[in-house]
Amino acid sequence: MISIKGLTKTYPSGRGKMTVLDEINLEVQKGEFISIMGKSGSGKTTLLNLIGLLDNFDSGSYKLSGVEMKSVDQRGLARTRNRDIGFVYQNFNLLANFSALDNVMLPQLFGGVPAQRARKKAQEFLELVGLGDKLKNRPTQLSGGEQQRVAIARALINEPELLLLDEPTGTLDSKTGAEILELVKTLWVKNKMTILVITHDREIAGEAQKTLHIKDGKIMEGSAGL
Amino acid sequence: MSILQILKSSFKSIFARKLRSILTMLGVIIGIMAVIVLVGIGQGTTSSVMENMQSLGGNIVTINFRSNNPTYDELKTMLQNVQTASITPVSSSQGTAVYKTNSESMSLTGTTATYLDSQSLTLMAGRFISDVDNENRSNVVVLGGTIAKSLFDDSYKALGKLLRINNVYYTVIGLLSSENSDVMNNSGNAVILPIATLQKSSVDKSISRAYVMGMKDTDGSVLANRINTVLLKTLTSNDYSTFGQEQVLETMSSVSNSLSLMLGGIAAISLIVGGIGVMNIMLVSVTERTREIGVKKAVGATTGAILKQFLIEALVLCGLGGVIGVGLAAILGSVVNSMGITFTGNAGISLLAFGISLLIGIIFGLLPAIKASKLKPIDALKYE
Ligand SMILES: Nc1ncnc2c1ncn2[C@@H]1O[C@H](COP(=O)(O)OP(=O)(O)OP(=O)(O)O)[C@@H](O)[C@H]1O
Ligand SMILES: [Mg+2]
Repeated sequence: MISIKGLTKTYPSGRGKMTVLDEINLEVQKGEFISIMGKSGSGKTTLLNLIGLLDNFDSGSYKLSGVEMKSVDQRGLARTRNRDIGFVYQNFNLLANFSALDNVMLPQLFGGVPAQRARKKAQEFLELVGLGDKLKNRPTQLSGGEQQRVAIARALINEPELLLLDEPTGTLDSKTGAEILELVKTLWVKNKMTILVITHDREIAGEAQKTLHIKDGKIMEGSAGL
Repeated sequence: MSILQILKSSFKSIFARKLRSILTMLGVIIGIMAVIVLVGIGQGTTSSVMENMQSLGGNIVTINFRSNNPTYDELKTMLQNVQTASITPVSSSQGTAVYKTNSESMSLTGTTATYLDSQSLTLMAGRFISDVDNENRSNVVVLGGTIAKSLFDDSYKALGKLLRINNVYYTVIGLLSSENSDVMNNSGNAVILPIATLQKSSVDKSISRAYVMGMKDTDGSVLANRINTVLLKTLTSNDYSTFGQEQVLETMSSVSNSLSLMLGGIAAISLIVGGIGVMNIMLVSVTERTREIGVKKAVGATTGAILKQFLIEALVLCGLGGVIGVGLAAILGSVVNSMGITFTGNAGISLLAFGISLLIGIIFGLLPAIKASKLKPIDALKYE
């Protein structure tokens, strides 16, 4: 599913550059549930943004389902983000002026699905995450946990093969966090998509099939560094 | 997304940010309204002034003689081949009028019956001098309201009284209303006698001025040309000058054109101010909108789809504002009209104002969107 070879990502820092990911390699099989851990500032979000096609990398190769992403144009990247990838952010990134339903509909609309069908499906997905009674609520009228459910529904509505979650429970209390995690697990069991989740929570990491550690710009598998 | 869906989502977006939308539209509305109303008032005033001027007689030519002045009869002979409605001679002299203990020195105008019409004067009381008065060289006089008042204390008392001018008695037969009195036509102080009476005792029978009124359909400038052609057979261009209503109209129209221009300038400034308002609001919300663009790109919107959405949103917003602005301008125009100020609607100007504000809205609605849509999704998401 994901094949990363010798990938390097730097950020401009002062006059020079700061290397956050240093020629990393990573193979992820279809249907795997992987957690990513590492110290704050180690580059977890950076990696997930690259995999989610939200950012560019300096060098190396990133193949998604066998296609080299470096050679895909803007439209192609948009299409891949729309169809194949679902992204859940730590800070939700919902449109503040839109209702839960409108937020969840968005990926469908940009995918060319007629509004009627998009609305119906969005409603189904919101019911699935337990928000059937809050379709018209705006993000400000929802609790943090509820907002994250909306974000999950939005990430899943186009039934992507790859679901990326960046500390999905980071801002939530442990009970709500556990519920969100339970939801993600249920969805994984049901849909068999590939999941990458960044977390500081060992419990969550323990649920995953595999845990990756990022340290000093490198990726290590297993419990190394702990 | 289909155009219909984009349109729907634009409306959603507009309604979702009510205050921002209203403020944006307000900028457009004020700009358009100012342009239409101000230009409308400018043009309305111009055309009403022109109409007034034309009603004063668009085809009267004034001839002022400087030297070799002809007599009334000589002038009539000169102009015999020119088709005219009337030729009104004017001969002036100075005089002193005395009534009881009141005395006034004044300029006397000797003329004929047609003077009244060619000068657009109206009578307040009595009658004007007639052709018969001229034939009989009657000692009659028509007085302006102001001078009658100063001689007789109450102008209406003057009617029928005998007034001594230069030691000859004249009967006051009519009073001129001073209503139309202005700089060009000081009818309040007029003292008008039959020209034959005025020239009775003098050897010099020449006239100083004449008003020639053309036939109904004759154009003022055509008439002036014809008059010049025949006059130049006996006189030189140094002897006289002609002055048509045309020239007055030209002066007036250039005055009101500069008035229109000034109002148009003010209107353009309001349009710019409105535009800056629109721009400000669009730019103020750029952070929020950049994040929105980031979210949309992250869920798979192409740059084209995002720009289309912003374009349509700006079009809808400014178009709606434009329609409201034109509507309000029409209402305001009729209010202004009912207050007695002439307002002329102008479709061209309305369309222009509409187009300009649409353009402003599109440029400033789209510029930040274009910038934002070029960002990487992650940079748009993190924008602050
Ligand atoms: N846009 C940017 N420009 C410059 N430096 C950046 C940028 N984004 C991240 N960094 C730097 O890159 C490093 C990795 O950041 P990243 O967000 O990937 O860390 P993280 O592992 O997700 O940390 P956390 O657990 O706190 O979220 C940090 O040192 C950060 O300061
Ligand atoms: Mg992070």
